[in-house]
Amino acid sequence: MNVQVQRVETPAELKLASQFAERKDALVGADTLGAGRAAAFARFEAVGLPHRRVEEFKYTDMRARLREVADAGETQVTLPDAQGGVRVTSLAEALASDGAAIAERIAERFTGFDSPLLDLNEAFASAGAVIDIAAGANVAEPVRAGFAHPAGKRGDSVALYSVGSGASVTLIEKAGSADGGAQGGHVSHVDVADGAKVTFIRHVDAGAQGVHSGGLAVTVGANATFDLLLVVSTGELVRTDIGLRFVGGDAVANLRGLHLAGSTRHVDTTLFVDHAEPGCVSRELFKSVLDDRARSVFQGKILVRQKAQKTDGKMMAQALMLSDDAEADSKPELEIYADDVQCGHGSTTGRVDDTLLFYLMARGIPKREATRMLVSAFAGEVFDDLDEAVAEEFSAVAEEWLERHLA
Amino acid sequence: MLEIRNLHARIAEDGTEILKGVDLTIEAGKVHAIMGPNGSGKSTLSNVLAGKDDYEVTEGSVLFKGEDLLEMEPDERAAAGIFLAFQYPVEIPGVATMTFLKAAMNAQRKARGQNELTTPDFMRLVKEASGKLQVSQEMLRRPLNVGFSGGEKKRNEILQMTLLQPSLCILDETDSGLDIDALRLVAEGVNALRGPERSMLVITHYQRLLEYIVPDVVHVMSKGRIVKTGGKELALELEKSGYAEFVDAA
Repeated sequence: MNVQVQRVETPAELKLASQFAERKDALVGADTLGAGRAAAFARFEAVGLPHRRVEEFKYTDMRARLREVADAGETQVTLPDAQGGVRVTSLAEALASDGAAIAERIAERFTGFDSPLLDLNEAFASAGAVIDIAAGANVAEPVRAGFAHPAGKRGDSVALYSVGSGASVTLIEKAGSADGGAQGGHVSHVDVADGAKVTFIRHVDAGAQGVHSGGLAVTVGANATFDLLLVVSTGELVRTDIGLRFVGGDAVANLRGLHLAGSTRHVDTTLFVDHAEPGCVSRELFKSVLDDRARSVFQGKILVRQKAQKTDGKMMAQALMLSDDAEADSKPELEIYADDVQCGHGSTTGRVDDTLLFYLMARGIPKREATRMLVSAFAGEVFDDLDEAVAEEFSAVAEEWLERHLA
Repeated sequence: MLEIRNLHARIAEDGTEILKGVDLTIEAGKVHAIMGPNGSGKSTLSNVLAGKDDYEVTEGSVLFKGEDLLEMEPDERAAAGIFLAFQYPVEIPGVATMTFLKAAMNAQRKARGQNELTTPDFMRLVKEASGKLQVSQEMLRRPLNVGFSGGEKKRNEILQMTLLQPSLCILDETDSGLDIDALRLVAEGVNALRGPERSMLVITHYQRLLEYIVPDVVHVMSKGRIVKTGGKELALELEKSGYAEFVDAA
């Protein structure tokens, strides 16, 4: 048997290795997180930056795209405002008071597939937040956190969320550095206890030159509901690895995403949903609006384990092209071991419909405005069912992007 | 109002010629009907007038209120006063009917240099017009035409026509798919818009609609041309004898 050991060899990989060697003992929580970080970096080192022959990175060759690694910088974390039922601590504080438990939570990340990028994040993340929602709490205002990576530098952050049983909350996080050029990633762990209801929104705003490799690791308890909205509005290269596992029965997950990309931007969301328990419902709707030579990738895998009878899983990826040179890749996978399940997937790619455009124009609406109406109607589907104020906030992000991109 | 001279048009994609020299003049305040068998070019004519770019005009001219209509974009034609009531109104998910109505009315006002409507004024106009056409508030809240029945879609077309107050209304097979009650309602809506400054071009396959919207002039179209013109009695004649005689003559 040949075991192929792939060494870290590109300049970018070598720089990451030297950064880790230099910084590992100085990173916050070195005493408690040190072992986990070393293990994570060792996993990364064994494979290096993933390239297109690695199935999960088929469309996103990180080795080719990440040629230069920026110097390390400081990530600015904005912690949520205090409110009833919400306990917020910075990562540093949490490590100081409860290091071992935090280390365990970080090490338990579930994504369902190997992700060297999330391993890198785990190795370097030294800024972050721990946000716990008390059982039964009905949190009135959205809980908002920000993870701004340093402009022109590298930064990694991590957030640990736990939502107690029966609680209801909207969690909103903004990741990346809008004013440009940051490298790094933000990874969130979300543990949703039985019967909780969570709306989780991540807005990746990584700036024109930004490279963002983020992740989301979610476990959903029995009878819980987890609604996700991922909005990626800027960033030269944005990759988001999402893993969600049902750890209790009869739970619901609505996972939605919107990629807005122009220029030569590349946005990849790769998703793994693990139906490990019976009677759960998962819905995935990922949309992209693409201009210029932008490229959007959606890979989604649904695994239905043998005991997960009565699973209902449906996955849809839709791309709307504003230019001839944009590209959308969609790769759905279903792996089903139970026999009483309903699963499906679909994918569409198209341009703005001329028939609809003509109808609007025939009523006096100029072409640009008519196009804007149709594109926002397409994108807007991901905001359906959100709380009105939150829906408005993120449809404004889409509108603003559209204003810039429509000729 | 409208002067069509020797209009030739073909399908842009494959070059098939559909209109082969249409001549038609419509004066202000008049209602003209075009009848003809399937495939005679009736709907193509209405689409060419509205500016659909699936068709290419190869010859001839169209003047609307003295201006060259063929030079205008579809939205400019609408702002100038052309309204096409579609044979098959499209469904637009994600665009609420009210949002669409307001966008259309304000776009046309803007193009004419008028102020945008205030929300109360807009609401009042919609309420008045929708009540007469039995378009419910619930329909207005839905995405445009999504889940509307055939009759509801056609009523929604006439509602738009009422709100936009065009000077030339083109009704493309508005009677298709309507039962008698819906037909009567739609016809009442259309008749309410008749006036000395507004002309209409009613395209239909059947004479039935013309019992409700009584035309001043009836044309028969066949093989891409107008082959006969007469008064409203021509429609009755056609109902009795069919199109065969005209198709053969053309």
